[in-house]
Amino acid sequence: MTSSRRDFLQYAALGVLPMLWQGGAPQDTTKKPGGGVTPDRLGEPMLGGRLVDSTDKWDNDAGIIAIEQRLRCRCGCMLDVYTCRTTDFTCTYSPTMHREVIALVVAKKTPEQVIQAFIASDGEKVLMAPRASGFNIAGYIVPGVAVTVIGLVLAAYLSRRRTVAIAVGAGAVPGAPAPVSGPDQEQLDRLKRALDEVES
Amino acid sequence: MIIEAVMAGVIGLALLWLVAQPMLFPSALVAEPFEPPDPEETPRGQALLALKEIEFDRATGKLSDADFSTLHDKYSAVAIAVLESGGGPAAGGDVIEALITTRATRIPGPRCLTHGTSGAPDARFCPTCGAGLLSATDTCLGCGVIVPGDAVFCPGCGVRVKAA
Amino acid sequence: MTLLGSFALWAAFLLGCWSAGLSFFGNWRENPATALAVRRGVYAVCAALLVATLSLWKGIFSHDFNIEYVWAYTSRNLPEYYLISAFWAGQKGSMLFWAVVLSIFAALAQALTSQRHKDLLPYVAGVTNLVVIFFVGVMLFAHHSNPFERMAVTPPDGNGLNPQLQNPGMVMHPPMLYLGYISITIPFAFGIAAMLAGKLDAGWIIAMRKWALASWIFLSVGITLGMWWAYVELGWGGVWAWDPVENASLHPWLVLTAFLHSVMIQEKRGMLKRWNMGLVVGAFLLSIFGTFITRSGVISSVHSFTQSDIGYYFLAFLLVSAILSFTLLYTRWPSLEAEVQLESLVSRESAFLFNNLALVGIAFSVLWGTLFPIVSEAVRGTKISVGPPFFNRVNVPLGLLLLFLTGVGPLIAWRKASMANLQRQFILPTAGFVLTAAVLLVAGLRSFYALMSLALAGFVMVTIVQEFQRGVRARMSMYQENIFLALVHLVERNRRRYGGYIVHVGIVIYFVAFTGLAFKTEKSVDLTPGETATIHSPFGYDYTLTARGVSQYVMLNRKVTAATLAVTRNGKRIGDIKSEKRQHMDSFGNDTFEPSTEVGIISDLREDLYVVYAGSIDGTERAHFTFHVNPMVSWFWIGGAILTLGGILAMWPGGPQVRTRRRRSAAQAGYSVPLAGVAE
Repeated sequence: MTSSRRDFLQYAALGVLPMLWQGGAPQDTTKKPGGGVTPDRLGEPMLGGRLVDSTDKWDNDAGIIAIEQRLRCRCGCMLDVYTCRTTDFTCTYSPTMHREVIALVVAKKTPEQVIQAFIASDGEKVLMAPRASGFNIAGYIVPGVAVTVIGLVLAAYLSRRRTVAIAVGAGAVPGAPAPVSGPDQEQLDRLKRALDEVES
Repeated sequence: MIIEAVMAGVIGLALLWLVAQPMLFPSALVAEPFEPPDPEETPRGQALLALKEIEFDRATGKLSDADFSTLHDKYSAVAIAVLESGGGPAAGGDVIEALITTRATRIPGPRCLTHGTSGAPDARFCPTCGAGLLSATDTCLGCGVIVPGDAVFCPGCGVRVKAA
Repeated sequence: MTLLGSFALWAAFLLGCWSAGLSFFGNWRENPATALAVRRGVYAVCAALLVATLSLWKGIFSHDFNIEYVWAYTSRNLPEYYLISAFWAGQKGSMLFWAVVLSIFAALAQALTSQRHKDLLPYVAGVTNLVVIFFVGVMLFAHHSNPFERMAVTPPDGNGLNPQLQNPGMVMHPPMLYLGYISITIPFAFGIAAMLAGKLDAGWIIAMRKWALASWIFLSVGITLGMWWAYVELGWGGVWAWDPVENASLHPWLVLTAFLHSVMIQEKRGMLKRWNMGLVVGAFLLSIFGTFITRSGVISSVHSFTQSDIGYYFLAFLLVSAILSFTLLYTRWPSLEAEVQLESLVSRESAFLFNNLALVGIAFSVLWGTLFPIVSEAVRGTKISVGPPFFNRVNVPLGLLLLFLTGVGPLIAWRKASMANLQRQFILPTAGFVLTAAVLLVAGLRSFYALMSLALAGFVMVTIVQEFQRGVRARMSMYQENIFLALVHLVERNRRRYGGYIVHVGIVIYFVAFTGLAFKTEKSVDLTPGETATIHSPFGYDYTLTARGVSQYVMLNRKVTAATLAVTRNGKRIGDIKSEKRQHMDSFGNDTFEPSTEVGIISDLREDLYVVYAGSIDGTERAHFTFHVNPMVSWFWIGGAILTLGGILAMWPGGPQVRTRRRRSAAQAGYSVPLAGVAE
């Protein structure tokens, strides 16, 4: 019943795979829900990375999550604090930031004040998206404005072009002579024969 | 190590042969078979397909009768103009004839390497200098072997292909 | 086999240089032998790179850990199929992968393109060879970039493959995306060749349009597989994070999508020649830009495992390609004049122009967002981050505009339509829009964007159904066909149009899936075996999860800690779900890499239950879990599959547009002309 690392590796080397050791199997399925049972210790507690804290009421608090979703984790993962702490369980930064947010909320700070406190300590890059103020407004509106303006110019250009096109009476084939008078019957027959041979 | 070096040598030589062979032995070249253009590439095909599309768009209700008749008249005129100009007596025939017509307009007649295209379609020698004429694909009209651009004599039958 | 591999790289480099030189400066117009030599050069480069590839695979499969690359990305206990993907797992290998695949595509382009484009093909060979020799040159000359580099000592075992890459999605996602990026080179090469040869009619487009469609399909599949990988492997329950590297794959996709639409205008009408040339050059440059972003690390990204100092080679290559291409475009500008003018503002052509505007606008907007941190820092001197909230705010309205145009385009006739007639076309789709919106409002949906997205999805779906229905009806009356024959002929005779509509269905499904994902719910809980937690889903179900315990065991190359939960939905048992922590190890049992997390998923068409085992509390079986209910996620994969099928249908060979009833006349006349692509 020992679970030393050496034994573990011996089992592995012997090819006894998968080798269960310690009381790890999905046992005790008869346990009643909410049992108040003391959980068994894992054979190698550190195998799954660092140990995690117990969940408390703040972990699922909508207000806290809303704040955390606006803040970027310091670990460089590109994720917001909430997503990072519920995704990358090796990250030690996001739980710390989580506790900082809780502390500020407990100290009766409004969400805006919490965000301001983080900007004060980490700079603007702590925000998941820049505030739409000052130069950063450009970040938000340039693409939309560009598409709208070009769209309007295009529409104006096309409607002007249309009048020209009608006046000119452009042909589909370069060099094709514009008909002066209507086609005669023989030509129409020939066209019909040609069209009949196009199956579409 | 030695095996690897030998493999490298063999592969290297094979690749060299692959790229050098056409330039060293141009007479072994086989002329590429003619492939006809897509109908969409020919004015005739484009004009006919446009008319078909206009008919289909009316049938699905996308074109009103007024728009249809405007477009139909216009594109019929275009198609007739294409048939008249490109087709000759064969126009209105089948696609193959159109392809040949298209191809024929693109192929220059037999040409002399010195004096360019000249003479009747069935000429074998240049009327100016008397050199053997080549086809559009640079094959010697005497023996059918491809003549390299810098050759003075045909590598197949030895006839002079450039003016002396 | 490193000697042979290095030799093959040198052979490819030298043959490529020679062949490229011959194609730009040789007398192949006069001399068919030179043209053939150029083509053989492409084949020879391809053969040499295949030899290099086999040499590297030989090293990988024989566990030759003296080769630095083999040591860095494999280990003795790595499952065999991951040995295959180790080939492109690292930067050196992916450079070789890029080069060999491009050379295969280049050879196929030479072999499969009709000889009637022989005025273009030597130039195409020249351009593709230049790109290949750039990649081979980087391997040969950049610091620490040769995949065949050996080390002074031979370690007993390798470092192993990053656990996040040990996933079936990751075996397929990078190569598919690479295939997309790489194959863009072929349409680009045809565009450049057309400009060099001065043959600026639709010929080059007809010669390369299947290549453009193929790259688009590869990119679409690559992006979808990337989303799948992110979903099942990264553990945050989402598919798209607007990461710079993800964005980099979206740029060429969007530009290529615009190109696939606007080339139709050039083929049919001889218009937009400059624009199309600009798009194909742009798509190529953006694919190189994507590689630059991925490799250089100038913008931080979750894909940072691919960073190295070769990014700047790509920057230089990008700049040189851009300058050369746009200079060439400038010199050919007058010959790219449109042949005709637009007949009407209300026409398919102008709808396509606006669709191009929306697509290129989104591409610009994503690029703008990706680069905005750099711009902002340059202007204000303060670092900022640009994350998903920014991208969603900017791109969701543009995306909805695009979705709307997806529905509008098919309703308008080519060339000319009139307003009165158009109104009739719009009746049913508008009804679809209103009905969807009404149903959703009654059902309690109040989010404006979600409502718009789903209602527009309804609008587009009705247009597509209407297109098929009216097309079938038109054929039935025009050709007296029965309904099935009419449907078959409708699609068969115009595969591009109807394949395109099926792609639109896939796109609509994507929009629906993205909208659904906005309603995901999450919850963190701690459970001791036997304890139970409940999560309420957006579709109104109650999932009850009962912890069954945590087990630890050893697999081939990893030690696993697995938490299992029994799941019921509304009281009915639907199965067990298991999430794991994995500690990877080498064949001596030494830990490699950080522990990674494998999520557990129970999926159906409505929603996914997604469970993450976060870790052990106090080293006991009491476990910390995050539960997610993610609505509509399956539809990403269904949409991706439909989109791919539509794309394949559109490019399926042999779809005849013109047939002749007198095709026997050729044989009768005593000559034969191959009619590939025309008569059959």
